[in-house]
Amino acid sequence: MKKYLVNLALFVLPIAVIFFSMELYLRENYYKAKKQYLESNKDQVEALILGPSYTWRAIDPLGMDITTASLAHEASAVNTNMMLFSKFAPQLPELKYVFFDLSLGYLENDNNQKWESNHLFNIYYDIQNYESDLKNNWLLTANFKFYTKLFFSYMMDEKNIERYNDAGFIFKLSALYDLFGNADYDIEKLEKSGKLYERLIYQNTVSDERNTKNQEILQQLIGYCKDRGIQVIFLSPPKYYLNNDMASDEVIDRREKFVSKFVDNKDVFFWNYEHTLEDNPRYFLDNTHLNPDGAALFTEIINKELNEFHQNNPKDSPGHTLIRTNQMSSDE
Amino acid sequence: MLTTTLEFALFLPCVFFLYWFVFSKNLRLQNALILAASYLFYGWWDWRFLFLIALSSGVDFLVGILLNQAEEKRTRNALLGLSITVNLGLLGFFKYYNFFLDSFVSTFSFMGFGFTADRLDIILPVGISFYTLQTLSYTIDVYDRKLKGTKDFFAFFAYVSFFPQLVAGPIERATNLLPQFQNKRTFQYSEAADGMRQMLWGLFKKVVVADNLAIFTSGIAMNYEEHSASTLLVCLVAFAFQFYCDFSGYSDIAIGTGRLFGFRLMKNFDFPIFARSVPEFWQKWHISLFSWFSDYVIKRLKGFRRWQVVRNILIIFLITGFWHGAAWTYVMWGLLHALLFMPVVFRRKKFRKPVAHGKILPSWKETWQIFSTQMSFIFLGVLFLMQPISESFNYMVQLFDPSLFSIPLVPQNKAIAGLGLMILIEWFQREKEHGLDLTGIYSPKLLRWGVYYALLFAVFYYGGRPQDFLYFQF
Repeated sequence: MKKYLVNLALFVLPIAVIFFSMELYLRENYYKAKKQYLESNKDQVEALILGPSYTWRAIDPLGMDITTASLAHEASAVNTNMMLFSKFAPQLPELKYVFFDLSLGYLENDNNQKWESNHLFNIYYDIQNYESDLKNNWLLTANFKFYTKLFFSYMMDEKNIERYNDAGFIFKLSALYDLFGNADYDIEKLEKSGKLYERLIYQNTVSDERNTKNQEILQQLIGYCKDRGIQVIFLSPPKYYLNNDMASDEVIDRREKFVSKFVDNKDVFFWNYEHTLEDNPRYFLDNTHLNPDGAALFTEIINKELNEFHQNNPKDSPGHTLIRTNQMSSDE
Repeated sequence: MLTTTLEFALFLPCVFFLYWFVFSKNLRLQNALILAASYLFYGWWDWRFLFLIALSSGVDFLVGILLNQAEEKRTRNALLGLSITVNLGLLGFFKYYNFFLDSFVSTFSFMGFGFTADRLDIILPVGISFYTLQTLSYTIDVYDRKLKGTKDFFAFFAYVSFFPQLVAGPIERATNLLPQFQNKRTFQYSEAADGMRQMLWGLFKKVVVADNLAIFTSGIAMNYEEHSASTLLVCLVAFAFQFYCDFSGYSDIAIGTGRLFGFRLMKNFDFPIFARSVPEFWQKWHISLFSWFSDYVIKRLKGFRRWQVVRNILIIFLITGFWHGAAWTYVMWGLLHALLFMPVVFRRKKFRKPVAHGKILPSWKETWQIFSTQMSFIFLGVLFLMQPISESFNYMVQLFDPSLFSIPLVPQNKAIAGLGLMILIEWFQREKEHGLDLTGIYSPKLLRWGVYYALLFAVFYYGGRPQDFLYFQF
């Protein structure tokens, strides 16, 4: 038995050391930053951003005048964003604005049990969108292949590492994701490679079932916000013109129906910036996401708009101030 | 709990530790631990299933004790009848109720009688087909006086529910496994080390080969009408290997796990992918099931005249087919295998030596024999791949199309590489217990461990999307 245990320990030890080192290294990511930022500012947060990566990459919370936190995450859908909102909104006493992504096709999505980020929501937010699964408690056991590849890409080249600020906003892109930047913003070159047209029809997939379910979820969110006097601002961040041109009439019509049903311009608003910056590839990392330069511009736009909006529709509560003095952007 | 999950990877060392370090001095406590661990393992799926296995075990435990005392033939028959009725009754209800109901309704409708009946929403308890046969083997053996009915509650209940092989076999005989529960087990380094190798090999076959092939086969089968005949053929070949790696992978993990606890489970697969005839294939494929039916059904029928042999073959394959599932496809599958089996039986040719014995490669003749045997298994696999039977038929019809000569779609590279490696290793290990059996092979520790690390890395890195074991549905 002794020989067996010694051999087993010697065999397992290197695996355990490598596993835990990699896990610890990979756990330092923007999810952690977002969570920590929210926790440490929960008594000051006045605006909360929810949505997929379109919104996450479009607005730098530290660039806003009022204390803003972003819980927008890549590939997250309405249902998982509502889970985040339900969990964190009651903890934010000063919350006055909720930005919720309403890009085309967003109402047609759903994060189910097989969603690839379920483990991240579990690890960082203790939110489970699936039946209990032990492997979702560690990054490496949840998706060994993805994280091993990611780890090695980080080790191979520093360019592959994304840099984020205290609020979890990416201010330096990874070369792995910068499609336009890697092609020096040469659209012709991208066209020839065929990569330019990847996922363009993604937004056009519709589902009556998911649309209905998402409308119900958003109705709940609106109801909660009305009760607490929180403004709901649906938002569609800028997209590259190719994406906008490819949108089907059907998906546009379905969103319009939602907007006409729920947006009253009193408690619920819709700010559509899809066509803003759409002609300049230098502001995008791909067809649907702004790069940090585009995000800096767009954050300024949103910030200005919100300030004006706030002056016209003051939702003051004790302690509220438009000028944030205690937060500094890490890239300032 | 699946044996390929993280849950099992944590569960196993805990049980191992308690078994060898806390309860090792007391056999009853060890058995109690195995029983508790097995019920936890099984209840992980659905705790309600535990009542069924407890009921099945309880009835047979009492029947065993009563059989010890009963001398009268009539009483013994009644006790055996009780055990068979309860066990097959549970199996029949949970597995076959809706099938019989549908068949009954269809038959009456066909005869012109309007008849409707509501199906029941029944969940098939995982592994019920396996442990039912295992527990039945006990009462039959006690009835036949091959074994004395045990009064050791923990040993018997642990025997029926032994977690490594509970849900997909090997289906153990009471004469082999129960005495192992009744006698003290000792830890043997070589058994434990080789058990772990066997588990690793099983894991590789299941996770790297079967799960990756499953991505391809399920994708093709879902809309087979849209694919060329050549792709459908590749899909059938891939499915046959998926089936083999899935099931034999499970068996390797089960046997390997058993060895960690000092148990010797029976061999379930003996490299059937190199079988040279249909009978040889069936001596090597799911050995524990085929031999169970042979021992407990066919031997009771007796008779070696030609018509009796034909009858026995038909019976054993029909039962085997029906055991797999409550659908006509499985019955058809059994019947067709029986038909393939028969001509070769009458030739009475038996292979005395293993394939390519003492050689590296098979002869041309052996290659052809292996190829033709595998092709029959591959083509009949359509009945498992496609449900219902009409879909299997349509699939086969679509194979006879000029597009058979077009370039087919193939599985992912990692699936093909895994499959190639598996075939290669199993070919060289074909006379051993399992693919990583190192008996008689000298290899430096560094090399061995390098291979283990590489296989383990392949399991984690190249593993396909986790799938349930195919045999769980049976």
